Amino acid sequence: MPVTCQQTYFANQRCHYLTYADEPYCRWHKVIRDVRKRYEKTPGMSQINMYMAGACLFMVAVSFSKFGLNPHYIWGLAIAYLLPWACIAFADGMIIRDYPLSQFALWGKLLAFGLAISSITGLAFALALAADKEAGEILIRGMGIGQYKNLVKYGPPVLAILIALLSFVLTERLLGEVLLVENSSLGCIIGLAALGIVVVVLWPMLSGLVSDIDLGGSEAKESGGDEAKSTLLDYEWYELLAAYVVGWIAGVMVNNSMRQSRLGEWAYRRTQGMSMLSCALLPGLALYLTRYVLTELKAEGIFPLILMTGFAAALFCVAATQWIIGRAYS
Amino acid sequence: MYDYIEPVKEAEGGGPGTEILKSYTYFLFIAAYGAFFWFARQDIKKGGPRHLTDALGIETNTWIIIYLIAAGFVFGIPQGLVAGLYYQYTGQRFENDRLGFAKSGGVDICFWSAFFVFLIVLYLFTYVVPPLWFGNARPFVIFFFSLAGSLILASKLARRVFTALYGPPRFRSR
Repeated sequence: MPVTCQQTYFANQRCHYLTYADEPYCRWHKVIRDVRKRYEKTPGMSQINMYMAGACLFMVAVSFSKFGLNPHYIWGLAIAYLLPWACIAFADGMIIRDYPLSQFALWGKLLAFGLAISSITGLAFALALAADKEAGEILIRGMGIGQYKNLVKYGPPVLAILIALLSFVLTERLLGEVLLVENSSLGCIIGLAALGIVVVVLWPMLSGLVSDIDLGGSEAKESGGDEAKSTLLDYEWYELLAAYVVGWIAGVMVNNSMRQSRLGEWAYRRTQGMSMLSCALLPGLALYLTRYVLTELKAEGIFPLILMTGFAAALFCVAATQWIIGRAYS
Repeated sequence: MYDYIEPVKEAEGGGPGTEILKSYTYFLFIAAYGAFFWFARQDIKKGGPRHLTDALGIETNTWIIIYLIAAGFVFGIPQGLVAGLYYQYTGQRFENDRLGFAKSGGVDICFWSAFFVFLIVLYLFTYVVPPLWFGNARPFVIFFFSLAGSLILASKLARRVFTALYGPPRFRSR
């Protein structure tokens, strides 16, 4: 016998959707309750999400005006990516408030719509930024920061990597929170696509470095020429160790705070091992990549190394912890 | 003798300003207002399209900014009307139930209806209403139309939302 959702509203009204599986609530109210549970220790995130929604809508408006001046497809992709992001942030903000108007199933639907669209358009946007240098340059110049040459050069690839990783995180959220699917192959496919975009972005740098290290150096030595290609910046071992330690501290802080705020005690303990592993490995990866980036930027000294390693390690750990939390109860 | 009707809900209290700080979209107000001023600055800067000059009929940048800040006060005016409607539906006065008013979406309805109506009126005066109409009274006419439009929109929205939350109105207006 079909049972309707147990969610009640004011004025003796109630939700008319059927319950989901063995739950007392429909799919949309289960989504709402799960989101609220995730943020129960950080109610201030409601207004942060509202601000994010405002920022996304502002960027959509700017993209529209830029599209009017220079009709390039990258602005269309930016709008298609940012508008669903605004929907996600707005729905999250409304749901976390837990007020009378937050109870309607509409917010769950808006969240699902935003997650579904932005995870797909995010991949397209990241791919466009990774593959089309002109589009990336137009985007950066359109943002009014075209006078910084390094930003024009490195901005689009960095944005592409960030957006690809975010798309993966959004897909995981869509599968776990909205579609209520565990161990879906769709997550793996999107993950591989995101990884592919990261490789596309990093490939010129990686291939250039490989040729620098293996072939360029030896050929220059053999020929005895002075035109040795640029190699990695040189650091003392204690400088590298300091950068790694800072990256590790940043990673552990991010990991701990995210798990403490979102997981119960049992799940927190269960994810300890994976967290320790990711916090140990990811600062190393961050340090490795940071050296190449700083070499390209010609930024010498220990402070850029420490700062950038810490920042990169924190970012990697956010992505890794998100993934760990998603699997905590599976 | 008259019949006493129990209020639909209990008063939740809250000091002055609570209704704004505890509203649903408080930070979105700030972002929207900031974005509005950013676009206004882009419009009136040197070499900008100066649509605001066309709309308002004001030449100097300083007076345009002063007008836009002053027009911001229009966003708070529908609150009195919506607070009156809130009493009709719940039996609670706004002064005693600021938190409940915020939770019912009263502040958000006031701000967003005024903000959207103001933007629409500005758009119409830029592209539709001929620049010679209303002469020097143009800024005041825009203000008047924004106010009237926002009151109508806020009233309609508030009735709809409050009916969904609390059922039909049961209390006579203050």
